[in-house]
Amino acid sequence: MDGFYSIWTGLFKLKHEDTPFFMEDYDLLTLILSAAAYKKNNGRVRMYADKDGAEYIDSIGLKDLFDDGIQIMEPDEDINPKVFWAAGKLKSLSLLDKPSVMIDLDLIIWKNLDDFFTGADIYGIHREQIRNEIYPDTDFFKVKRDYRYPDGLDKAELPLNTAMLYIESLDFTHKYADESLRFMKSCTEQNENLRHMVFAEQRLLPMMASAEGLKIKTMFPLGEDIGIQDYFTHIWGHKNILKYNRDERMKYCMRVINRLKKDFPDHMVFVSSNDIFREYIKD
Amino acid sequence: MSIRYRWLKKSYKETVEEYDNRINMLPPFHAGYAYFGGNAYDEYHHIYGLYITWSGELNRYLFDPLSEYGFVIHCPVNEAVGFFKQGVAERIYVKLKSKKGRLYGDTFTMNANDKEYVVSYTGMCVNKPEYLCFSGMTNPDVPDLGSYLVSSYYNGSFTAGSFNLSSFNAGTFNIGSFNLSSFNTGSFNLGSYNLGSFNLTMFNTGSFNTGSFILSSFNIGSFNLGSFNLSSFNIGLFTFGSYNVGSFYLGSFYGGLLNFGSYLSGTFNIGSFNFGAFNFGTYNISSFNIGSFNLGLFNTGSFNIGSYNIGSFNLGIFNTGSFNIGSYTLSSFNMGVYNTGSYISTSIAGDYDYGRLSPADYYDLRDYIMHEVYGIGCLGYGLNLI
Repeated sequence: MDGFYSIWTGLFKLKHEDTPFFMEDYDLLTLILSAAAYKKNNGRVRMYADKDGAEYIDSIGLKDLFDDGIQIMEPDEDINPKVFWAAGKLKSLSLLDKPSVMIDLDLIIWKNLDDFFTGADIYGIHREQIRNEIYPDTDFFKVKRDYRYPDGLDKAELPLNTAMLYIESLDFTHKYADESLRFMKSCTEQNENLRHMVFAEQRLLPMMASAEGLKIKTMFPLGEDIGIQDYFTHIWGHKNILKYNRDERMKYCMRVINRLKKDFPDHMVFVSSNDIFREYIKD
Repeated sequence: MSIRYRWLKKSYKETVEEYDNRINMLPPFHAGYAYFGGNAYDEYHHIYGLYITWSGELNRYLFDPLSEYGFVIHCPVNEAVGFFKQGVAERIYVKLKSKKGRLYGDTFTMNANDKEYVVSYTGMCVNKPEYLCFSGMTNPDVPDLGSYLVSSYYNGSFTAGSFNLSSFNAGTFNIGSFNLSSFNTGSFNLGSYNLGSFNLTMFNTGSFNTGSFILSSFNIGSFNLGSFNLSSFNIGLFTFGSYNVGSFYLGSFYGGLLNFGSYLSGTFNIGSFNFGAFNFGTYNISSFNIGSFNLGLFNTGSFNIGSYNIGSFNLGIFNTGSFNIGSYTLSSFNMGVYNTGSYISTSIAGDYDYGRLSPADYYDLRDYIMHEVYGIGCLGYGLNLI
């Protein structure tokens, strides 16, 4: 099953007006390892990116990592990147031309998932509990007066974590993505950057799926059930440790580089020749 | 704005490479203060979770501003007890790194007990220590950190006498959006934890303009400040003359205790309600507490409290910028029984023995909020597979 990643520079540009978009060394290494592992075990990969993201990937010589290249996508200008920082993922889903696995930039899939992708319509890693502080009721959201939520939403349906997402039906993929983007465009919220986003991305999906009788399958029931496993690496909040802890960042980058050397040596050409990773490459 | 860190700016004559080299060769310098809360020590792993107040000005230069949460030191129990009981902050030094003109905090250290501690980021969530407080800049040993300054405190109750400011800034003193031109001489007790005496022997307005309020005359006795205009102010019983507070309104008010009405005509308090010293900006309380409710000292931005808590509820002290107690963030704490209000949990550490360190006690939802909302934390899985 082919996969795709997405880069939307909206939030970056909002926070760092004067800085051209870039990715940190640990982010790039994770992406390279992720794409390399996915291509080995599952299928081809593509990148969806906005113009600045695409230019950056091309400028550092990483475009060839993606078998199916880089497709340009731009979320609507009236979507607030501060609130909906992951809108690029939904925009990418709306542009899919074939069912594909959506993969977060900080997720590595180590095994073939063909057997997992059977028996249901929608697949993810785990569900999430409905906690009011994270998934409040819809009356919490600030939306325009003329916005109406889709009919038939089952609010008891547990949200689905979308670090990895595969939807078999392209029609439903577009329907969900379009509905999510419509919600984002209808929101008047300017600052709250958790609940609005996770509703649009992770709660709306299973509610819409339930309304259409689509079945969702997850590798683990909830995030807290992910114990010892060998399918996925998700950096997630650990990225903040990499951001602020130099020793951990060095250790992490070296581990990724050593793994690339061992199992994906073709990709070391890029790493060893790129100035970004100079401090990690010894002669 | 302070110009203490003006040298961090890239000169127009410098190339990016020259700038990087200059910054990377700088020695570590004092950039913050670490506080040691009573329930922030992990006695099993000998890790003390720090609450760090960073120089706001420095943080503005950094590409990734430093978080006040998440940093730890390793130390044995006896040293941890010492840090906790000493009741003062320790200086944190930062070595900067510059990469293509972008500034980062690279390594962090703390000097105490005649040795250097490595301060590392693990994402450990702690509560803001209860003794965090504020003082003026009269002590020459206390450097100017830029946006704000914190100082020591006295353990025990914050009663009159145990926490004295002998003076409070001569000259300009900027915190966020307001200027203090002069302040008290004599005893001046700040803090909102204690309903006790809170004496100003003199309160000089002169050019005491706090932006949102002006004091023309002042009280001897107990009183608490908020963001409001006082035209007169009485001894003992508080009676106000005209009392226009702009963004809030006084409904009722009792001698000895100070009750504010609802600022936005919501319902409110039975019991005592004290503001801390300074609240600026918009200040909305929509519904309110039964019991005591103490606000911390400084809020220099918008300050919203939604509906909440029955019981005691104490806010921490210093917030610059928006400070929401909405449904997901509560950064404050308590002396005694710890209630986090109604948003997240009923308690984190339960009864708290002021003299005893407790193992760090995380609440998973609060951790999630801290991780996802504040972006700090240690969530992640499968890292061992790399």
